Amino acid sequence: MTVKPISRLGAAFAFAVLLSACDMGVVVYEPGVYKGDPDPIASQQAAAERSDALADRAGSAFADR
Amino acid sequence: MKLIKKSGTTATSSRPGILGRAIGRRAFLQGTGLAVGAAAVAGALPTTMVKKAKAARSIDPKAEIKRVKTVCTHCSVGCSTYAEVQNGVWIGQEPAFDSPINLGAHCAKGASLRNHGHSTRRTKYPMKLVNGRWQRISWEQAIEEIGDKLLKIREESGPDALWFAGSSKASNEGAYLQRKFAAFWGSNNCDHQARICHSTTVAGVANTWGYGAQTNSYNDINKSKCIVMCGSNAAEAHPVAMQMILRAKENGAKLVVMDPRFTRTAAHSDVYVRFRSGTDVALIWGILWHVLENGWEDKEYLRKRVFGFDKVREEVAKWTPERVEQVTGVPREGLYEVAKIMAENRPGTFVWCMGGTQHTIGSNYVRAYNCLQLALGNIGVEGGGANIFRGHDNVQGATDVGPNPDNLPGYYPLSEDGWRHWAAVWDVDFDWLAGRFDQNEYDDGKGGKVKPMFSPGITVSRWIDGVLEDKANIAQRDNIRAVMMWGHAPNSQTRGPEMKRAMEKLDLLVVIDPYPTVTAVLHDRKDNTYLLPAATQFEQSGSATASNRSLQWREKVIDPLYEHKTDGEIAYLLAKKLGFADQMFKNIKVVNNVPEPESVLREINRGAWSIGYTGQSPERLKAHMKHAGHFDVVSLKAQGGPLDGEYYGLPWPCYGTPELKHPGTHILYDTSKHVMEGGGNFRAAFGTEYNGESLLAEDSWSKGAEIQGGYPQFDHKLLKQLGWWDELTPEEKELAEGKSWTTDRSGGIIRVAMKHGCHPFGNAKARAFVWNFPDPVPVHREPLYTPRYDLVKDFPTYEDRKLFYRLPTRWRSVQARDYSKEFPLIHTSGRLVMFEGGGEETRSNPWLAELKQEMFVEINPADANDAGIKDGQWVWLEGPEGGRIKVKAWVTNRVGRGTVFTPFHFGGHFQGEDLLHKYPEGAAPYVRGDSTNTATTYGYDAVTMMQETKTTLCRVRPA
Amino acid sequence: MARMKFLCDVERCIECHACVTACKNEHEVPWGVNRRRVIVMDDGQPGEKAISVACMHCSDAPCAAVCPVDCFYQTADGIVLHDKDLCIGCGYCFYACPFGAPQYPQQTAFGVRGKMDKCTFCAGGPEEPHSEAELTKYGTNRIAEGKLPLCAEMCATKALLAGDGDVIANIYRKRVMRRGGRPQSWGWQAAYGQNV
Repeated sequence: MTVKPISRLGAAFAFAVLLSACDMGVVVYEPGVYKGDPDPIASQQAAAERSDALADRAGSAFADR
Repeated sequence: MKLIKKSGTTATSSRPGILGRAIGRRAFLQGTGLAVGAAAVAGALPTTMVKKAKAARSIDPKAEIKRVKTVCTHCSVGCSTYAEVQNGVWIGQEPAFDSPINLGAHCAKGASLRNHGHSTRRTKYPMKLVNGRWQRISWEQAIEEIGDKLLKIREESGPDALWFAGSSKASNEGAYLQRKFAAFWGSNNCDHQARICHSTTVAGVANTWGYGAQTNSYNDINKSKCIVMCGSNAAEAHPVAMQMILRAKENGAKLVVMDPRFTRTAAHSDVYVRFRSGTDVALIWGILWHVLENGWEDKEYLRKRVFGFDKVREEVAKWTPERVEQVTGVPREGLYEVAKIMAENRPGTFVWCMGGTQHTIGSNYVRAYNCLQLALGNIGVEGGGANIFRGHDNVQGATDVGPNPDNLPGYYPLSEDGWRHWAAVWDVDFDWLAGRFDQNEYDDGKGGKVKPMFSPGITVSRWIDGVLEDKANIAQRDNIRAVMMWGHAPNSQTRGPEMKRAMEKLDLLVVIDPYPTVTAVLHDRKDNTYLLPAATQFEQSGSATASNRSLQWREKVIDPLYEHKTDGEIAYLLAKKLGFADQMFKNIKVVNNVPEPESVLREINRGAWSIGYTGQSPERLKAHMKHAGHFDVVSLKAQGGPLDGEYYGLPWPCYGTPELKHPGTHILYDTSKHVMEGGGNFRAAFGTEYNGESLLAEDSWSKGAEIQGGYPQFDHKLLKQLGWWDELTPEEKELAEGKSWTTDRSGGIIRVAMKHGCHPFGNAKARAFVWNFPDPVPVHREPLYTPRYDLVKDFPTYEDRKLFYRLPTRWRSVQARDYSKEFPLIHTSGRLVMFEGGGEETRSNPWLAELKQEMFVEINPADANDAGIKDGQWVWLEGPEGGRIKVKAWVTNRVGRGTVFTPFHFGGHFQGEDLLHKYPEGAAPYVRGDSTNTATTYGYDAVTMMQETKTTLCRVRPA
Repeated sequence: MARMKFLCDVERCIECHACVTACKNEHEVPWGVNRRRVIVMDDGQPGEKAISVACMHCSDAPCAAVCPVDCFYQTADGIVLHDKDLCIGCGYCFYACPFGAPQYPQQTAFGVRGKMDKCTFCAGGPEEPHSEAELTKYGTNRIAEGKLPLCAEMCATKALLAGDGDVIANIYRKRVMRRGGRPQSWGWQAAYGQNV
């Protein structure tokens, strides 16, 4: 079976396209994973830093003084 | 600001989101080829949405934010809040957890106060009607024109031709200046919301035991073992009070709610009693019958502290369970259960509100409640009391020192003594002041003659009759020709169609208010009508008295938004134009036409000895706001700190000078405490004996009193008799000579009396028998418009009177006709949580307006079916005097069969027509509707001229 | 680690809507969008109960599970938030949410939807805390300041509690113990007898 030059060109182009996908800027889609911008207050560290203050706040806000 | 996509994110930055792995959005979009699509979605956002998403404020995180403490203006609970202000803009509202009254809590209204900081739905500048259209004018022009017209009317018809409504929403200082304004103008024709709110309470309780105010506090309810609420829907009218009520309930207190309507408060009760509107006396006597039948009354308490209870026994004996059921509809077991709960759970408190006051015999209801509480020994004790929840935020203060037609600040009588006292405080010549009034004499309605200076003015409930009644029948020189609504909604008064006519007949109509109010639109006037923009309480500082008699100081949050001016400044500008500013503001500091609130309060402090509004100096009040967190929530007492031992807000009476450091009185008439610790006893206000029987409390006195027994009010004679006169300083002696404790401007008599542990107002018994009232013992009388016409012959109303508060007043001639066949349903009214009063202010706040967008009537499914009405349908509600309103039907079991309920906050429609086109542009409230009071009817209390809004008749049919 | 939760004490909720207006006030939520609502059951009848409902900040949030563009995330202390730049306003989260929490700005034409809006637990969104962008898109960020949601902080009767689940559970538990372990509102005795 002979391979037509045009098909070879197509295959090479397709390969080149696939190759280009290996560029650093491209990330594979992963369902269910947050795709938005970062939120500085969402981290473990930020949550840990505010937890005492929020617990105190709950005390002053909700306890029946 | 548009919801634009952000730039500058890079694919390589790490992401802290914990749902998944770090990933770059741009990379993600590129990788999936969705970038174009997402941009298209963002770009396709309809512009309306983008506009709505725009923040109304911008907050600079770096610029300074000022925290200002103020107090909510929407009810009498007195909830503090912190306003956050940046560059003069009110950008945030934070809870004041330190306040012992609300602990940071708010209701829907309080939680939306910040809208006051940027609301545009207001009267923005002075305006007048020119050929039926609103035209902007300057303040100078407005004051000139109004002043000239007032002077002309005064010239032609005398000072009483002006009548004005002052405001329970003014600060103490503003309300006091309103009363002083009337006095210096030369008339008693001023009134405010208290008339149509709790006037029957004030008269009823003051005549029973001394002071016209809530005896205990919201906080003290924590100590109650039983809470009975009758005609009070606190969950909507005083929501933050429910915090204390529910806390008490959690501690084991029983909650009993008695109301014709299954209210949102009733939903939290242990026992709910539904009864026919307008039958409270029968209901209460029905409970007291069981108390007495079972010997549950506190006999020792009645012997020591109550006068005339035997006469109550005689009346109560008539109210057998069968008779009570016949009148109220409540069976024997229901009221036996209530009586038993009250008897077994003492101390118990009794709460009532406008469901108990707004009746033709409202003062009878009030006194029946009092008698029940006295019988159980519940007055003058912690956890007990008559916990009367007042309405507006400063209605207590405006009652105490504000624009009342029937007394002077501090409840001083309209007698020569009363006027002379205040003339001395004001530092003006009594004769000059008297000369300001109409000098003619008029029929006093009791067979004598009286000068207008000494006769109660026309009330807010009846001003329309002062306009419409034949001049010959009025006990003053002429009809009312000019009206100023200075902080008062007209749609809170009954008989709307007649009000429209009255407004149209006036020569001058002025609205002084932050909002145009229904007064701007109800009538078809073409000219001589003005709107003056008044500042809100957030645009000025001053004090306000909460229902529990605590005074709280508001700091100014922001400058007036537009051309608004404070009540004080408006009073000053008008007084200047009318020619008496120099006298009226003689000892008050005025800066740039603005009277300084501190200076005004100090003048009140110098005069209102009778109710102990003398110890609450501005400095002390400010210290209380600052150290609010030191006060115990249950006792309201400061624990430690600079205010140790004082009660929060120095609840009046706070006797003597500020220097005397009286701590204020948390619980009135509490004999378990020394008078200098807020203790007390019942007041000797009614003489020392009646028909040979002593009124003094011979076997009861407050802790530490050196007179162990009853004693009269203190005056110079008593002090001399007791040998205490020489304990006065020479300066005090000079002012105290010939005076009583209420008129001694040195405060010396009070100081010495209290030093000996005695109460300046004497020590007497409470009166179960009030001989000076039309019904000395409360009796049931059928409402003027009653659905039970068959009971009228047994329980008829009063005879008509030729003159009452200067006007002919009808009872019997109204009741003479039976309307119950044509108008078979009881029409009662009440509050909603999201609105206040006439509602203009709250319906102009979008956060509140959104919550209830249509006027409605609650109707029982049976009545709805009888009338062919479906839920949600437009209906006509028609009153027997011809007024009718077009409202939405809300078919619900919340009301019983035969009763319909409407909320009274709506306005801006009249008999089905939207009056939007009559408002100044951009100033109409978001939500408008027909006003309840367009369909309400005639009917007034025989002591105070309270209007009847809780029991009238109507019919409802599909629209 | 703390886990942020709301809890509405039904015995204390009086349907006053303070939570609703506090939210409007704090975040300037437009007319028609309600991040929080008061739901009433048996309105006007014995047993009437009200409860304040907003986003419950589910630990395993169904909104996040179904979102086709994965715009949801959760803070380390359990607050469920979303990125409005990413949100396409499809309404799928509205299907998934058991509480009807997601809101869509009302348009003049019925049915047109904008970006989804919901309760943020007063924690803003994926923007610099206190920035103009955060304020405009999500509202204020109280959490970053050490404050709790204003709806709960201003609740008239302290029925609505917000904060770390353990902390507010302790507060609530004390109340329940004081109540003797039974609801006291009207209708209970009628339903179960005087002595229950």
